[in-house]
Parts: sequence; C-alpha cells; structure tokens
Amino acid sequence: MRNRWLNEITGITGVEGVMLVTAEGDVIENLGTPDDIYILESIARHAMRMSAAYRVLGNDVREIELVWQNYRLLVMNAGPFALIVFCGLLRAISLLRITLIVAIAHLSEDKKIMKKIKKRSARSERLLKTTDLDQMEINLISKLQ
Amino acid sequence: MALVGNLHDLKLPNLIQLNCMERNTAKLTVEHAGKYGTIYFHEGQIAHAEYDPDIGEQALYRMLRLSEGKFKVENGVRPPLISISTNWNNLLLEGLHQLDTIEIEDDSKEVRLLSMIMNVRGVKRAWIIDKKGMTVKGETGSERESALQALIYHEAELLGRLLKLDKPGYISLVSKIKRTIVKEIDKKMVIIDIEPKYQLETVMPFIDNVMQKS
Repeated sequence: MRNRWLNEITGITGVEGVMLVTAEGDVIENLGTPDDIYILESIARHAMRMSAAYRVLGNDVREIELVWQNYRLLVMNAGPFALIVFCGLLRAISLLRITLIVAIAHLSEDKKIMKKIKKRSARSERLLKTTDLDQMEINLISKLQ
Repeated sequence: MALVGNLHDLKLPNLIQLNCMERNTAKLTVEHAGKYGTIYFHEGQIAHAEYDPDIGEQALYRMLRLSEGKFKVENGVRPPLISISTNWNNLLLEGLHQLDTIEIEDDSKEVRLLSMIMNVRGVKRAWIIDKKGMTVKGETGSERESALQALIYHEAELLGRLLKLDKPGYISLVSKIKRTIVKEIDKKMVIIDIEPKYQLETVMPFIDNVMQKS
C-alpha cells in the first residue's frame, strides 16, 4: 500500500508525482513519477547534491524549486530525508507547500518509513565525492572546500 | 493636491530642480519595481532622502539612476529628519557626475542589469557569475559562494536533461536566512539574494520584467 501522505500530495491539482528520498539520494517510495528507477535515482542524487553542497558552506537549504516554462520540481528537505515533487502547471503552490510541511511532520513520526531511511543512511557528503561526477561537478566541488 | 507622473515624462533631476528653485517644502516619492524612494525638500533645499537600504546622499545618488517609475510630489510635507546638508546644486552635480562615471567606466549590460535588479523591492544582493563559478560582476560574499551557485545551476541542468526539459527558467533555494534565485542570462548566471519574508511569487515578476528590459 502506498503511503497515505504521498497520495495526499499527488491529489493536489497540477502535481504529477512525488518521491521520498534519503539525504543521500536513495529512493524510498514514489508515486506517479517516471517509471525508470535509474532516472529517479539520478534525479534524487542531483537534487540532494545541491543540498549537500550548501551544507559544505554551513547553510542548510530547506526548499529548492526548479522552474521551467511549464514544469516545476520542488524539493522539500527534512534532514535525513526529502520529498521531491514533480509538477506540471501548478496553480496552488501555497497549498502544496502546506501539504508538504504536514506530510513531512507525519513521515518523521512514521517508524516504518524512518527505519527504511536509517537503514540506507550513509553520509550526504558522499554525494560530493562519488565517482559518477562529471568534470564540471568535480571542478566546482573542489572550489567549495 | 499632489503632482503625479512618470519619470519617463519628467526626469528626476528636473523634478528636483523644479522643487528647489520654487523653494518648496515637499515630499517626492518615486516607485520603481515595487520599491519606494523618497526625497524631502525643505524651503528649497534637499533635506532628506531614503531609498532602501540607504539614507541621505547615497540614497539620493541611487535614486538619480532611475530612469523610469511613478512619482508623486506632496507639497507642505516636512522632512521627518535632516540627513542631508549639502546644497542641492552640488548634490545634483555630484549625482550626475557619478552617473556619468558609471556609464563611462562600466557601461556594460551586466552593470545596468544588476543596478536594475537591486532596485527591486526585497532584493538584498545581486551578482553575476560564469559557469566555472567565477564572479563576473557585482558584490559577492566569497568565491566559494559563486562556485556553489554555479554547481547548483549545473546540477539543475543535468536534472532537467533527465526529464527531457530545456534549461531551467530559474532556481530558488530557501535557507533559514535568505532566499536565493539563480537565473541564466547570456551563458552566465545572475544570483539574487532576497529577504526571506518576501514571497517568490511576489518578487519574481519584477525580476523577470527587469531582465526582459535589459
């Protein structure tokens, strides 16, 4: 059974899908997202790498929003995990933000979910050191230190 | 009755000159991109100016760079404080000299763009970086911060490719202390720090407008 809170989020008009990922970019649950798990994990890694890079400079980023002409990706960070929401034409962005805050509060209390997250947790900094980085990423990451 | 108009039709130096020569006591308000600036005249002298975050002569000099925006002159309004004591002639000369210097020394698209962005309400800081994370123009906290924002944009581009999307229109990142917007322009990136109390949906139309005009 899909998590109730993922259902709540995808119930908002304009939301196409959502995934729950660890701070290291591992996908825990997903709903309505592209089927290809490789693509999902790559998306999660890029999103969480942004957060990890921010942390290197001593700043915790709690929300990342990537906006294209007719598409939006919203990343809501919650420490050990994050929700990544895939949106088409979204009219109720405030409603989505509130729903995400409530969902994060409930998910943080969900022992089953938290157990899965902890099981897969390593250190988010590893996202800045993995071998799947391109040359531009390597150069820019080296300048953060 | 208040005199209202647009700086397109009546330039700010002319408005100032008019009020000073008429020996007016008045309040002149200018609204540009949602941000307000005020100049107070007291018996024909410029007595006080405010243009967030500046007060006094610096605020006046920054306002003199505005070439558009709505204005309102309310006669009989006294200044709440005196922050300027220099003669209005000298102030105007210095302001216009600064404007000329900026135009001659740094008449680049980037400087004009940053100056316009800085006039948008809620914007605290703006600078331009290249894709390698080097600061091109404007005031930045550190080169590490420029590298960070270049990395953010690069990650967003890679992520967009996975979703078969073009380059992102913009990226917004919210931390406890600020909201940062990253937006590409001419193969470079403009980084804009906004006070967190301002909603993205409120500020972004003004920034888009400024960028289209530049």
